[in-house]
Amino acid sequence: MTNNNLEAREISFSFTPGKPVLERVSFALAPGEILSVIGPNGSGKSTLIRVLSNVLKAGSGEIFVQERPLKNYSGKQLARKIAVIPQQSSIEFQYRVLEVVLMGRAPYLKRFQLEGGRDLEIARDALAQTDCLDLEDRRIDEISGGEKQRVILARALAQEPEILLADEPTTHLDLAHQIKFMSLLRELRDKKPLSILFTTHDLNLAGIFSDRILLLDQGRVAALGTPEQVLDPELVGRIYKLRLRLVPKVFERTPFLVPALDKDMQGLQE
Amino acid sequence: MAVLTRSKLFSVLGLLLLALFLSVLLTLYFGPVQLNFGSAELLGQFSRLLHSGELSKEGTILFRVRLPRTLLAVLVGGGLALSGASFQALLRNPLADPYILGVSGGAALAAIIGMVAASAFSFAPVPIFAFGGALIAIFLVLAVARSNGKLPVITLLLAGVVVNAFFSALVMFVLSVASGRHLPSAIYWMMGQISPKPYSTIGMVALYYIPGLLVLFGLARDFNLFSLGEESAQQLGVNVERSKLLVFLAASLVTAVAVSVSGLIGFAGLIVPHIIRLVFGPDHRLLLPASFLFGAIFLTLCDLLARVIIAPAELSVGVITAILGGPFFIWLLHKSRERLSR
Repeated sequence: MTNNNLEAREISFSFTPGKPVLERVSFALAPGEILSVIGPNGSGKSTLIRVLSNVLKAGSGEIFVQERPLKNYSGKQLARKIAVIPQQSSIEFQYRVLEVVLMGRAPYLKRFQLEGGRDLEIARDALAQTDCLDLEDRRIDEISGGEKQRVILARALAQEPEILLADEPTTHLDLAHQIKFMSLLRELRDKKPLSILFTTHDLNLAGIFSDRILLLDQGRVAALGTPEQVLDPELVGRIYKLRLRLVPKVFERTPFLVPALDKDMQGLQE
Repeated sequence: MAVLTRSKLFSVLGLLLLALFLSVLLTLYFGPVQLNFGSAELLGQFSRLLHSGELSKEGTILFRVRLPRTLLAVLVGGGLALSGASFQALLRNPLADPYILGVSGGAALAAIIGMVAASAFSFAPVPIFAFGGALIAIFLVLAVARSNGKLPVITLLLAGVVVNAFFSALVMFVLSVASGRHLPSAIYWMMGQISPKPYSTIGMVALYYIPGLLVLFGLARDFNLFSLGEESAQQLGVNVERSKLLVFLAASLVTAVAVSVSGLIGFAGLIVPHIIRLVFGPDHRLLLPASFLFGAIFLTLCDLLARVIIAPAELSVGVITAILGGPFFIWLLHKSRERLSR
């Protein structure tokens, strides 16, 4: 058995019987690997993250977290291994940034235990890593969207996870913040043993920032491999029902795809 | 620093405890009848109270009227504020309050039915009836308000208003039909009243509170994580479904017990947690106990006002809390109006 951080074996999931959202999805996430998940709307990307983080229970198949079945983990145990960054966090009540980051320490605390000096140290370290240290006393509802997403990342890092799952983490960010956020993820992966799985609608972001790409099509794995292997205009175009064109020489190795629009700006495949 | 430390927790709670003690002394001191006790006489009357002896006129006023009334205000105010804070955390909605949600209305109706039953069967645990009524009300409100698996603020408030109006009408109906001498007056139920009760009743209230308070204080950190959203809370290790159920049960229990001895006192559960959050921040590990203490202070002082404003006549304490709470609610609603469009 290989030494994987996270492994899905033939997992399936459906909200209503007979209409699987995920169908026999298998993949493995190695330590230090960044895997992106792409696919059209409704292909099961978010559901995959929710199943992997045990919010939804897989109907069949099995998930292993560091070689141990997911179902054998308690909620707190799992939260020490896997941290999740949601697509958009609406945080109720006016917490300070540092308080939000400290919530990431919850899996390590007993019921009536308050965060101690070490927890504070870890939280500040997480804020430093995400370039948010100067925000710690700001109210979470007063900072910008880009800052908030980095604070949420800091909260996830405070969990000291070995696996980071991020559900479209850059969807609500402008281009500069998208790049900053993704670069940050890659830096973190380089610094510590952290495996990262993120979903995205941006094919090129996936190409640039991931080691491997998982392409989902109606809940099934359509392709799994390096960006060069998966980002094939034919293959991706067929699944997204869109004519795609490869722009050469944008990057040295990573393919760069754009919609192939005709004069009338039509690009949809029949 | 924003972070909750042990010293911050204990100094804030200590301060509030002191303030509570002072407001209790204040309410014992003030009233239509001026009390002049020497310390020896005070102790003498107190020991007579303990040994069920005959009290002097002043002793009766202090120990049979003002003290039990004040203690009841402490418990009811604390309980309503605590359950308000809990409902707000659970529903991620700062406008929630047991009264606005209709929980109090359900509890009141069931309490009255319990009292009618009690007069028929000579025994019925009224707070348990009220607890059942509170649970029915909250599940009714949630069922009405839920749309597409979500709880929009606007439908939640509307459902609360409707359920409350419905239960209030039923309260009036049952009171009119039963109109027994065992039942407190309609004004008691509709506006809420703190009245002197036997110490046994006050002890019973405290006893019913214990499991509720333990559960709610024990889940304080989970409440913080709920602020991130249920899914994030779960991904941080919270057993969301179990915690939610426990909170609903515990907050409904505390509300129900408070309502069964004081009727419908509105807005304490809304105002108090909000002020605590403004001053000390939203961390529920401080917010919950601090809301309990400040709620106790708040209602004690409101009840003092109710007693003295038109003395020798009395107002219902609910009149005071509603006069303070109505404008406050509108201000809160105005502040969060952009949330309503969601």
